[in-house]
Amino acid sequence: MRDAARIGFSRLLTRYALTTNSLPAADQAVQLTPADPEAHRARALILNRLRRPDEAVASLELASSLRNGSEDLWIELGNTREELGDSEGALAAFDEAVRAAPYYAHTHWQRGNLLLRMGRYEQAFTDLREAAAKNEKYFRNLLELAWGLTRDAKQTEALLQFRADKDRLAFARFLAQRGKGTEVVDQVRLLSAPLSGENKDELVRLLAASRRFGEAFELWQGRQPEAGIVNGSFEEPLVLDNVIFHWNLLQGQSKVKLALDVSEKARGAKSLQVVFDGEWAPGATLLSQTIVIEPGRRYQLKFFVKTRDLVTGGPPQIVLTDAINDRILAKSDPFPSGSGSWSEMNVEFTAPSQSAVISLMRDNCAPAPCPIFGVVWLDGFSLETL
Amino acid sequence: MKLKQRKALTAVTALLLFSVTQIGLQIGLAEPNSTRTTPKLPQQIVARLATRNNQPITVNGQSASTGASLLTGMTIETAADQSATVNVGPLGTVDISTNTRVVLTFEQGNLAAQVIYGCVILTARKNTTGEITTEKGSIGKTDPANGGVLEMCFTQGAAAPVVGPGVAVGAGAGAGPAGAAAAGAGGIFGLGVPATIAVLTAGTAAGVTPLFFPDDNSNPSPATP
Repeated sequence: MRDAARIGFSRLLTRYALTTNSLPAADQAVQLTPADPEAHRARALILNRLRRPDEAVASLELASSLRNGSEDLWIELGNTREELGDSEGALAAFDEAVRAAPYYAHTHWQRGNLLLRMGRYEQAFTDLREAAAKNEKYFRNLLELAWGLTRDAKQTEALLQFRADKDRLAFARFLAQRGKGTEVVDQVRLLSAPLSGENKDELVRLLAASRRFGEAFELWQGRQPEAGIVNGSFEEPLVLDNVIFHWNLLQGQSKVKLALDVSEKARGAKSLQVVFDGEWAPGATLLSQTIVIEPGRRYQLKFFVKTRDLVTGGPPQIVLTDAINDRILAKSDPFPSGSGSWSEMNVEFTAPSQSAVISLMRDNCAPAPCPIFGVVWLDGFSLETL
Repeated sequence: MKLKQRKALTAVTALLLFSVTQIGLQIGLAEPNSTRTTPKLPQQIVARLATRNNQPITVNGQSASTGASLLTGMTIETAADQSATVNVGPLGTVDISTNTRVVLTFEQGNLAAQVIYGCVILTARKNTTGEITTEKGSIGKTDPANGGVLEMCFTQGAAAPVVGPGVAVGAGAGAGPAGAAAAGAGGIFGLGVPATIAVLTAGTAAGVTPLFFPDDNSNPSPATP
């Protein structure tokens, strides 16, 4: 009865000590129950919080000797020993932690991290991989460490030793976020099963966001990029979902209406009709498409335009920009005012990088606001190498 | 008889050959993982993270707590109730307070903290140049001949960083305890610690209270033995 009361008092004191970081309370608990490992552990914890690791180690060693087999105690001891600069002692403690809980992820994770700091990379990554295999929450941290050490896709891959497609896909995503286009394509090729549409779209989006358009195109089409325009004659429906390498339309312009027109066409069976009813913010891109091109090559962009009752001080035109840095490469002539029949326009430019953006834009006119009225039809966009 | 013996011998030989092939095959199948070798990497400085009460913070967007390794260029972020200390071995330490975002870079002889916002204390050891920068520029550098300490706060929305001893300590920088609890001060009803202990010791019922360790990892691993 008396022993039970003593244990009860000790536990209460320990709880109080932990809540308030009170060392005297922890000491009192240890005094009451010197054989209780929890009292020693609590004391160590408080000492560690008070940045007195040298004293904490003694308490943790005592607690470990009183209660064998608790991996948490060994981990605390390992961490405290490392805090004191005793890496070998810390490793011995983490070894015990792994022995006590070999199927748990965090024991391997802690030991792997210590081995990494000790410069024993091979052993470290064996443990870190083991931890990530047991608990996938560690996988991304493992990726960060492997990449941080190597900054190289092949070496990172060698350190990670993928066993499942999902891990390789996660790596491809990681690389895409860092703009490593070629490496992403390489990893996708190594997948045992084809990419799902969803995963492909995500990788293409990530690569495009990193401005790796060539590789994004390759992933999207499954073949080497070729200069060209997708749906240049507007024969296929327009995609309103901001899909890269398709026509993208500026949303939220209530005074501008875009539609496929079967009654007017210069090529094929349809054209794109743009009806202006007053407003179109100058500088805003109404229609655009990112295209892949070959750096250094000279190209000619051709298209057809027709206007009806087009009245504005800032007429529309087609502008080509470098997709990497948004620098303007070339501009078409402004579209003719008033009304006219189909006319062919062309723009020549030299590709500075692997991608460019074709945009329907217009310059500002001197008196703001700059209204625009009338109808424009566009058709037959094509790209030729000069 | 001879024919029978020959047949038996052939059968035994075939069986033996089959067994050996199977063993070889098993070894072959077991091999792919073991033959993979870790690339030889140059030795690098790897820092160690310690967080207050082992609470997880964010490193490069991922959760990390005490014992995690940090490499140069990583971004460390703490929330309102989190703080940490990064031990960069021979170079020094960086104490990070609550609500801080900082990028640490280090190499032999250099330890730098680029503070996006928040408070840090950078302690550079001898032979190391420590530096803290913000978007406003460099806060200061330590002298490698002596080592030194830089302390600053650059809270979100502030026009300029505040630099000087004590500014980050007040903000709770580091993995150590914060606030009144740090000193073990207080006690229930303002009795003070000794009186509180006395009250607890003398007046509590004898029930065995289950202990809790706030520093425990709540879910060490979903793996089952």
